[in-house]
Amino acid sequence: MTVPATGSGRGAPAAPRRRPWVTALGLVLGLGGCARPGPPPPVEPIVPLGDVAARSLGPIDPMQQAQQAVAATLARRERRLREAWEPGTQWAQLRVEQADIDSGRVSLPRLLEIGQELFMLDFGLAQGLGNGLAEKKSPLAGPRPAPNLRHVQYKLFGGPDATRCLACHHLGGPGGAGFRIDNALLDGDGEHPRTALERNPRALWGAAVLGQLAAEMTAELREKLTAARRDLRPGQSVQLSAKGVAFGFLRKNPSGQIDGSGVRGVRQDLIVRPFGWKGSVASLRQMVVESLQRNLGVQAEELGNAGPPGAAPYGDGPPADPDLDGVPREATTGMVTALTAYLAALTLPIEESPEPPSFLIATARGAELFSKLGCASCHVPELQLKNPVVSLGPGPRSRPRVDLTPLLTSAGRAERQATVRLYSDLKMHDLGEELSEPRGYLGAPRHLWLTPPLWGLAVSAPYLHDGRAGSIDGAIRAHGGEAKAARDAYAGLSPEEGGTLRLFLQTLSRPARLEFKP
Amino acid sequence: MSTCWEDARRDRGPDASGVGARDLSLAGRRAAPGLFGMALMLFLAACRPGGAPPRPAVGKLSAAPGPGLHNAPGVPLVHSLELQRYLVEILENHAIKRAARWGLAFEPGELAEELMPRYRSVRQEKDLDPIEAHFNAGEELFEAELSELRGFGDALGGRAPNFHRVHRGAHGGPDSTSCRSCHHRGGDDGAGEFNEAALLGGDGESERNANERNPPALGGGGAIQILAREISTALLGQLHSIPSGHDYELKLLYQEVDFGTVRLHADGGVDLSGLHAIDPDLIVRPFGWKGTHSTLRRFAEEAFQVHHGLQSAALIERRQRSGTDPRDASPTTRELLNTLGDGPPDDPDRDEAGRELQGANLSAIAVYLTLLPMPVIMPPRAPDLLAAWRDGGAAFTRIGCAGCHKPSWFIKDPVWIERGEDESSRVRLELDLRKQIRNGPQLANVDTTLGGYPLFIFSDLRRHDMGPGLADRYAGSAGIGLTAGAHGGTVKESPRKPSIPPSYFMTRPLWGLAESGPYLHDGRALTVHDAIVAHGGEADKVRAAYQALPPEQQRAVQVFLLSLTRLPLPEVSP
Repeated sequence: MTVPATGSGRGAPAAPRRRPWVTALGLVLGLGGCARPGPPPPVEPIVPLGDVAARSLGPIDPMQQAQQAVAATLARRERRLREAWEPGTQWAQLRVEQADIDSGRVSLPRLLEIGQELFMLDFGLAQGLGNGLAEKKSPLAGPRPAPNLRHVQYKLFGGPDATRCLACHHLGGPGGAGFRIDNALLDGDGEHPRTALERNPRALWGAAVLGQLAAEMTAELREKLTAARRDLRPGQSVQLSAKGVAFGFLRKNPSGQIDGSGVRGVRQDLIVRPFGWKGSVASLRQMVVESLQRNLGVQAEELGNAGPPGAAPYGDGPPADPDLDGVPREATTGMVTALTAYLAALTLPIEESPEPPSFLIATARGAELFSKLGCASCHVPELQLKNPVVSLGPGPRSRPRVDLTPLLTSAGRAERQATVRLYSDLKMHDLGEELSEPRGYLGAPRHLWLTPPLWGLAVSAPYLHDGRAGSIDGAIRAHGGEAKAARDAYAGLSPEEGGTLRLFLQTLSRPARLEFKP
Repeated sequence: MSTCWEDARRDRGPDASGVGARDLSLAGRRAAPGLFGMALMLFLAACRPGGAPPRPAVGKLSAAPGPGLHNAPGVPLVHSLELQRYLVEILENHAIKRAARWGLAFEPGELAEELMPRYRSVRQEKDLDPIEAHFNAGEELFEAELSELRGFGDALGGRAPNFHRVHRGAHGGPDSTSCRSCHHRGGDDGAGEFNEAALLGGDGESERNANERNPPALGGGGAIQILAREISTALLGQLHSIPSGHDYELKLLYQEVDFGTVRLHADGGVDLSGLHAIDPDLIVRPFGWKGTHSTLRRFAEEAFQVHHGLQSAALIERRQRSGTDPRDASPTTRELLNTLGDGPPDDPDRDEAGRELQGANLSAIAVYLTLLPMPVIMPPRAPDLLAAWRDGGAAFTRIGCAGCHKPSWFIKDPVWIERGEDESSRVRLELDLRKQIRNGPQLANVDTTLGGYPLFIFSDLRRHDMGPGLADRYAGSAGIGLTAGAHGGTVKESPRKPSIPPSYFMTRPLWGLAESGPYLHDGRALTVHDAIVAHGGEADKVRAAYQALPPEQQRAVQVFLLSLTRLPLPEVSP
């Protein structure tokens, strides 16, 4: 089962298609999965980055890790010098083509290496960073010469506001979250922070797992829609749920039409989108493509140009170089695949066991409270992954096609049906007025937010969509709306009980490693 | 133990047998439990790029690249750190931090207590010496989520913490919640990313009405602080050594760097108009892109104010004592005193917390910053790159870069005395950079003929006109006042002249350059080449000379500059 190719889910960017919140349900099935015939590529097990066995530093030889880190850094520095001496030679090695991935000339481990380099590399003008739109006085871009960096993004065009992925995703290790200062200022006027929506960079670990869980939930919801069309009698309704998470109900009107107004926590197209604070993107790959554009001004071949003529969202230039910086094909399809694969291979967070026995007991008590207070009704501790095989390439028949099981087993929890302890229901919720924004984003109303997975929480402060909470306590207390009851229950705890709950949340962490912070 | 630098200078033809033998002996050590052997191996791996066995350095000094570098054999650019000890230390440190995290989750109230050590609590840690205690407290403060502290931010015309990505005049943001959030690139205490640039002296609203500042890497500040003090002392000494009573023109020179002339008149008058690139008080201020602070203590104090809205008791008391214009304050401090806020005297930023940082906190952060490791030079390993590196180093001097980016200085007294201004910080801390720098090279005088401790900072610590192309967009935040308005504080310009002209900047020390991109004060240059060709003003000629070089020579200069880096020490993540 691969991610179904649907309109705003992948392929075309979700951005320019300001889909209204209410969409005709009939469209959904028409666009749904149209896989081409032919044998799918072979499945390879993903190679988790970092030490697979690393649940903590304890069992591994730190010296060995340190040595590997030193060697890797020296090699990277040497490559940097080589690039200065022979410009383009190192860059050429990273410009991988999808054809070479599909033919197997670029192996999965090599692909992951390339992805890692691309994630950490500072893009420059030669690598397609930014745009040359200032000369044309384009309203999309800022007034500076290329790369025309700025801090406040303009609408869906973006900044560019950074020079590399790692710049904002480094907390808790590469691929992690970002500090408050790293907040993206989305969808603004390109100049005034006040006009923008503040978004704290989210941790990227487990992204492929989230994408697959969401795809399976989407499929389940759609099956129910098909069944409802077929089986419901006018006036009847049916509960919607996926992986045990309730999504409201569908109803058949007396006229025989399906009425989706009872659907909750997912848009009416029934596509579960696990990426973005407001659940705006369904696939990891699409997330990579959009981030490259908005944050780096690096335009992927597959970025597309879905706007109406004359109002191109990604530049006023010719199709080969819409952002007019003189660099065509800034990110090849293969490079997007490499980045996607790298993110897919990041090791998953772990649940630590605090050593002092008193802490262990407190942690267990905290976990109990987490359920009892109702936190766990949205931050659902675990979801079952049915099919761990996912395609990371541009299409269902491209490589790599990987088995995510090694990621799950490295966290020590392999079952036949893999259990993913993510602490989220991948659903949208109303968090109340205090957390609402002045306006919605990409068709999601101003007060709705996707339940963020809490895995790795301890190393991804600050919290909430704009990073306003510096502590777990602050984050819990900021909850409102649907979470108000749970928040109040937390606020009513004795200091000690509150402590056990926070301690439990602090055990959601990442395996410690020795590495360089490049 | 030999240093990388020495190795790099040696003729190192391929020596396969030597490499093999070494590997073998190390493999033997590795099997044995001797952890120090592994440390040695790790050190060697990091330190001996060519893999050639050590040989005595004979007659190779002239082959050394780099302006003036050959005058200082055996410079401590790479240290002989025992990595095992280092690893034990950082792993222990990590375990402590993790336990602290759990403890804080349990009892959040303790946070403020722990991060705000009063003098008493620092001294109570009897097992630790006071410097260790201050260093640890400083590290904690550096890494802490400051938004959890009482007094974070302000309530001037808005609800605390009143974040402002674009600063409101010299008052600042707050724009970030920890020191490390902008100083992590290239490793802990490193530089900042483009997206982490501060937007200084703005109107609080538009990113275009502010001066962009790329966060610099912090390692090595302790040595620069000492050097600046020694330069100032020497210049003042020269001034005071002049017999009075007749006209005299004094050329201020220190270690071949020209700071201009002072004219003394027979009637006791002093003419400072001939001073060059230094403030009239002859204080060298090496910190800040424009050269605004002479000590790390005051530098950090300002950073806490403008980035986190944490106001130091010292600043507040100074304002209460001597108003907003004390004669003995630096222009930057005066600006700060003017823009603390219009709240009550003991809580100018109206957030219902006063004395938000004690002297002890400033001492802690100052000790921490002083003892951070210095950058190093690590030449390339491949023979062709190494040749390019030599050429590049020579070209760096030949075309005149070294005129301002002065490669080396000597310092005479490698001890910095850190001492606070209030009761909480009256303890005198002697920071000896010969033995107290953490996890990096100590200052060492390996050649006794030198008469000092060499320091390879690649800066003359003077201010220069960099031309209109690099000038700040706005004339500086001097004299901008801040009052509590209806919407986040209003900013009004006062007619005072900016203290430092828009196009003047402190020569950036280039050590550690490779890990500190993007370059220049606003991070506009993404590559070393871009940074060089953006130079203007006083650097016009040198820039032109660089551009006139054949492309290969230009690239060689880049290779040389990119060898200015940090020790590749692993850190615990997360």
